[in-house]
Amino acid sequence: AGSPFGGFRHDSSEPIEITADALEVSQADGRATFSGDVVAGQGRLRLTSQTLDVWYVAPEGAEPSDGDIDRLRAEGDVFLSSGAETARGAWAEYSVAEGVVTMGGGVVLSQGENAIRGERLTVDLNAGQGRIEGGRVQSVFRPATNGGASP
Amino acid sequence: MVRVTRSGVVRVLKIALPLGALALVAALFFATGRDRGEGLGMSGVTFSATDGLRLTSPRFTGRTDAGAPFEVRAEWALPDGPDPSVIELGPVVGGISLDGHGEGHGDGEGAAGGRRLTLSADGGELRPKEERLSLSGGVTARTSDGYILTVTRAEADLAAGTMRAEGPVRGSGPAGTIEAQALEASRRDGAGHVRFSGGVRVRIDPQAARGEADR
Repeated sequence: AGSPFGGFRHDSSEPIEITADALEVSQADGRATFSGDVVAGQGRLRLTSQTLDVWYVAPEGAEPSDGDIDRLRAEGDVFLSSGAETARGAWAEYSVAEGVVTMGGGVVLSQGENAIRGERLTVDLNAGQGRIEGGRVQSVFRPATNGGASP
Repeated sequence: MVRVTRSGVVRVLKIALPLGALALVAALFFATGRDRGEGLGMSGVTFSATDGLRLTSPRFTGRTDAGAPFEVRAEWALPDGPDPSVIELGPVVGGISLDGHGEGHGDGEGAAGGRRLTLSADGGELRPKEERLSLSGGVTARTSDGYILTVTRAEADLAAGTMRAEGPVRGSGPAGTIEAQALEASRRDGAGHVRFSGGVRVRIDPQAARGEADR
């Protein structure tokens, strides 16, 4: 069967756009929080949620808010889509260093007409593998034919 | 199988989000010392009153909590009396060094190499007793490393080190842009805190951010 987000190619050098009602940045804890109808997009990857927290890792000595992005966490009606596949859950977290996206809280993953319901979805963007755990398969998962899976 | 651009994701996504640096700019917009002594020093005012009370090119200097000298210079200033509660200001230019360790000499010049923030506006109003300063007309804050923040009006409580600005608020930097309708900034024990509101749009160009950050 096509692994969740198996056919997914993400180019993180594409421009990112984030819109929300408000954005709060706290230099002390190196965190920026978008809140209220958050829509974040990069290439074909699109995420919507109620809040999106961005944590910075400050290289020593530098200002905390000029550093690398360490982790993002979206909460509240989280919807992640990559064009072909979508996943919905209560929260999602993207650890940038490890290149891993995890989603939890009643996850519903859909690929074409196949839908899988589970407790947790983990996508390793580097290895290009995804795993859904817990819960039950919503519908018979029709393995995509060879050529048909990735767009 | 997935062809994930190994270079893209594996490398730490280093995005010097413009809002991070902008937060610094906004938070330090008016970072001034708490107690009166260090607050908005009127000492630096060079009185060259020619017509009545009107002052020409007054300079207001002070130091931030971090000891960074700042200076605000206006083309003219019109106090409402000898012990003024309101001073109307003509075009204003201000300067502060962001790395704030205060070795910079008195006139707001930062330490060599330190990031500098310059501020300009068409006019404003200073309320010395309340230590409040409002600026209006093309209010622009610019840092020496390429970040620009423009607002329509800014109202600063110089003693508390807080600032509120109305929009449209537009910020841009090497790594991206930010737009909002309002901005509130404050400094709590030395660290900046900023809230953009009224609908926010942030655009980031990771390539530029990476380049800019690795300079």
